[in-house]
Amino acid sequence: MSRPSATALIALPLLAVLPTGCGSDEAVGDANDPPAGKPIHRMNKVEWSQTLQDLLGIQQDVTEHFPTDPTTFGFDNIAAGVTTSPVHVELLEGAIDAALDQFFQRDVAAFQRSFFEAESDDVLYTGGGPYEDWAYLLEHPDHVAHSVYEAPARGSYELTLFVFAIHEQAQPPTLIIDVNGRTQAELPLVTSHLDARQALLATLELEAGPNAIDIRFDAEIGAADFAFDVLLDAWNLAGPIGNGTPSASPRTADILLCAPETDDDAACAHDILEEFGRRAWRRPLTDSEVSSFDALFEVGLTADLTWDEALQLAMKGILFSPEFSFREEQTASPESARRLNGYELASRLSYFLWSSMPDDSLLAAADNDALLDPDVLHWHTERMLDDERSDALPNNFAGQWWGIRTLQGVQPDTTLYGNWSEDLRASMTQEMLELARHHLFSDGDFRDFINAKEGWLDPVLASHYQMPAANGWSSLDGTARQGLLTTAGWLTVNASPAEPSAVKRGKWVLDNLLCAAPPPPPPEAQASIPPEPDEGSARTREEAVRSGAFCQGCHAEMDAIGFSLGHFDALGGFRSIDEFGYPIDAITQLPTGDSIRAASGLIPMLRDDERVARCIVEKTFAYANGRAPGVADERSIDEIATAFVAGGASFRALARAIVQHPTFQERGPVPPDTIAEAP
Amino acid sequence: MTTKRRPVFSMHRSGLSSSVHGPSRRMWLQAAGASLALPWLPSALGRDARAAAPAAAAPRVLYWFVPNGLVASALRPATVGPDYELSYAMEPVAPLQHRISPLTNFINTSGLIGTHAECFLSILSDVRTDTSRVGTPAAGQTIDQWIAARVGPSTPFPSLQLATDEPDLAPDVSLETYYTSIAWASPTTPLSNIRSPRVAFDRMFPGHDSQLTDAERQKRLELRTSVLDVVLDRINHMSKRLSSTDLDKLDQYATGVRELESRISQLEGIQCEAPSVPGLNPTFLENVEAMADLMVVALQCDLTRVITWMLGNTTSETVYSHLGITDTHHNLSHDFVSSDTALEELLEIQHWQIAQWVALAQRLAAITESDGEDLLSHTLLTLVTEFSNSSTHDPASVMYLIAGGESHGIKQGVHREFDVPHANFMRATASFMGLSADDWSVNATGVADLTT
Repeated sequence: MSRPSATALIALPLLAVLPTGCGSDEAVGDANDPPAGKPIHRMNKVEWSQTLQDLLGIQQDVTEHFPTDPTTFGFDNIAAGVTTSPVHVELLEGAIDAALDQFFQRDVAAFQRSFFEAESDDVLYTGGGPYEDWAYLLEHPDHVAHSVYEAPARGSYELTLFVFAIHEQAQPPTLIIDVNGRTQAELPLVTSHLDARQALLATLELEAGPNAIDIRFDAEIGAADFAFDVLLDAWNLAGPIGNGTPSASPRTADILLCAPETDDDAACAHDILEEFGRRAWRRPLTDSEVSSFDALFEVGLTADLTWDEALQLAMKGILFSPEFSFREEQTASPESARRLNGYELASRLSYFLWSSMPDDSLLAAADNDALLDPDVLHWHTERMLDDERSDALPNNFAGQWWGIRTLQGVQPDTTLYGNWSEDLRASMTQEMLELARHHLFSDGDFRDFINAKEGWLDPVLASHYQMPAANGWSSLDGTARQGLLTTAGWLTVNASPAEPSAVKRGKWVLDNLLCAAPPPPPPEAQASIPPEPDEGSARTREEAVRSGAFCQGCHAEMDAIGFSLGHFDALGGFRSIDEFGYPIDAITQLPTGDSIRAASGLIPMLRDDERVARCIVEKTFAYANGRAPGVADERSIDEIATAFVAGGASFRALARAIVQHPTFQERGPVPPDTIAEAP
Repeated sequence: MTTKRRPVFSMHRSGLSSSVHGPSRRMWLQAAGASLALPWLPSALGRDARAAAPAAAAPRVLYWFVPNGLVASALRPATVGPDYELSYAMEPVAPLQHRISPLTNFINTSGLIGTHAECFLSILSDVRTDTSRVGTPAAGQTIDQWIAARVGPSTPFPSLQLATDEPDLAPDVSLETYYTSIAWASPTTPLSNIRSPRVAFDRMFPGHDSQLTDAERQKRLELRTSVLDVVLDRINHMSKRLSSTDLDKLDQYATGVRELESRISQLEGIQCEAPSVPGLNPTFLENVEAMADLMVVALQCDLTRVITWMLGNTTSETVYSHLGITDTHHNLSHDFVSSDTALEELLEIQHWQIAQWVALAQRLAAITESDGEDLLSHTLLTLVTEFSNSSTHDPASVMYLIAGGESHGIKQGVHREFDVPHANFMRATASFMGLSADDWSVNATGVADLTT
């Protein structure tokens, strides 16, 4: 079998051959410029949350409802693109209060009453069906109502459940309330009257945060004896009753270093604030800085706060100060780069690998700049990659680069794809995350994620792939699937709701594996589109629309890649005929004349394309450094790419090469913003 | 086999509503923290509303943005002047036609032959933005922010930015801000939208612990202010160490802290009855409804005088499944030129969007202000969009709608046709607010006349 040449994709003389060409929209610049620096770096929503959790040893995601930070170059942690609106500052104050209240185990929960309508979208059902527009009917012992209640704090909550029940049994049935999988209440239904709504009462013990609350029947009742209907109308949760107390933080002893000897012990407060400030600001505080917070503690005492309330007030001051939210790096001059000190480097490393603050060990290495020693830096890099906090990489790095986050928002057309479900979305997400974890942390060649012959399948996905039941890593031999581009999740993200999109698939590969992003279609191209033919295969119809020379400049390569994946539908299911009943033709031709024979031809070709290694470096470089690479970084990227491949091409080798490169250890000059003021 | 039968309840929803759902639902609502959005109750708000009465019924302005364009060729009334005819998508205007005016044929000069993002950003900024630039975001100060900088200090929120909660955009967008932020406080400060009605509610109604005495409440306010003072002091220290680009970032944070400090004392003085507490994870429709509730109450209670609302990002991929449509809004907005089905579905979407906008106008019209006029007559409610033809990204001959504002000189119920830069209209919104925006925009050739 003759395989297309591995270099087929490498040097496409598009500009030379095609009339309009396909220029790229990369930033321009001069390769002789020094690498640009980045502005001070505000934590994004994810980093704020993770940092507060690690700092205070709390569990709750206190930034859950913050606005998402916009992405730049595909990532939400690019310093220049992370801007702060008044809403961020205001929500941050509340998040800091909530985090500290949890740490101090305050009765944070104002008594709260929440109301669930049984027929609303907030309640999911196994079985049963809606009753008119205001209730939900359960009529079989297997029917269950699932809801999730976000408890403001751990504690007791009163449940009031409104139902109508009709039954023909001597022994009235019982409703069971399960909380997080454990039965907490058994509520006998009284003999029914047709028009009587019953209010069933129970007290539930809930954890802070989301609690899964299921309402089901007593499992003892067999279907054969089952002769009743229950209409769920609504329920009401009120609490916490008495004290809703968060659990004690595991960081308590590290933070509350001393106990006050008197009610106004300022010396103990000072020691605590000095050390807490060092962790929160990721560097030691000067004496005058600590004294600002000593003063805030005194303000609290003067206002008759208790000792620990006054301490909390001062800790809030530390966390609300810009030194907490911004990763500050000093500049030497506007023109030249400056080597980072140990603390600045420690923060860069921990926000790259963990999306969070340095731990005590890393912060200790920052003292006296020990971390600047390449061996010490190497040791910490390896240690941190082995730590479970590095799960931030699959979640935040691959999560954005591969579109795993985007998958959470797709809305496939369920009239055409009746097999779409939230379970399927969850399984797709899991497969992509497992693929990311495996290839980010293995010692093998990182590029294998492109052509991996194993996939992480659960029963839902195995069935979707028409494969034998599976639960975990499974061989993909004998299937059309290999690697990221054939995962159902990736294929679903790069599709329209109703149909697969060769354009989206091809464009993703150009943008994200080859780093050859095409520019957006010019308006003139839009204006010259011929109408879509109403006969022929899906592919020939699309090709007719884009047949003009104007389109072909960019689409020739993009579509050749996209159509070669034609065997996968908009949910990534395998198909041999398209939506119009024509057999799939997945053999395509690149502008070079080389052909691609379906996914099995495309994927190995991409895997061996030398642009891929460099593109992986570019993406990782941007995420690690918090800035989009410019033309002036090209030499650095080449150097890192060489070290990456020479080091065995594992992601670990790449992380090491990036961390050890001067671009990671220096702050480049930050040019004053050159954008003119609006007239 | 057990014989299955349907329940034979004698009551229906309407029968239940007074005895079961009526009073109890209201009770739940009044308790702090009811978790689901329920229909807004104008009567409840109307009766007790000590709301508001902004001094001398000040003018307020709301920019209501519809993404992916309006099909001007299908929506533009055939005749100019009063008694304009309504095409299908414009039908929702009918009940309030005498208070609504279509404004057609504006030219969005700075967006001409641009991308989605370029045409979107130029709506309120009238600045040509190079959206392919990867780096520090940069557009221009938008008219709403130009106004907010002048009238904002008199209200707790100088301005509010609200939007639907859309899924993340595809990761290949080089600078997402260019697709999501319609309001820019400065060329480098895009403002984030609040996408969660609950978050917006919590900001507008921070709540009072009824068990606190006035003295205790005062003490809490002072302690909170003490922290903010220390934070402002820290910002001042940090600013001395920073270069100019860094300072820009820090200044955004400082603005937030200063606004917060003035807001917490301003909100203390406002008596305003809150609408029902919105749910935490609303559907698209619940979100649109809950945000409309909050916009009404924010204007009514004088919490702000400047609002931007985005019914989606530019390139919105929202699927209007409640209209029986399965393709994305963005796909339809391109396909409508070559497909009649797509055109029909797109107009169905625009019909629904206009209906939402008219419903908001009607609610403003139902609220009487201190001068005896209704809230709509004090509010210039605009509907703006990027394109006149979304398929070709054409921002020439773009069409907007306005409602209300009569108490401040706007003449309504007239289809006006212009042939001038759209910036003239944006300047007219500033005029409505009592400001002269002659220094805003280089493309404007004057101020669009909305008064005759």
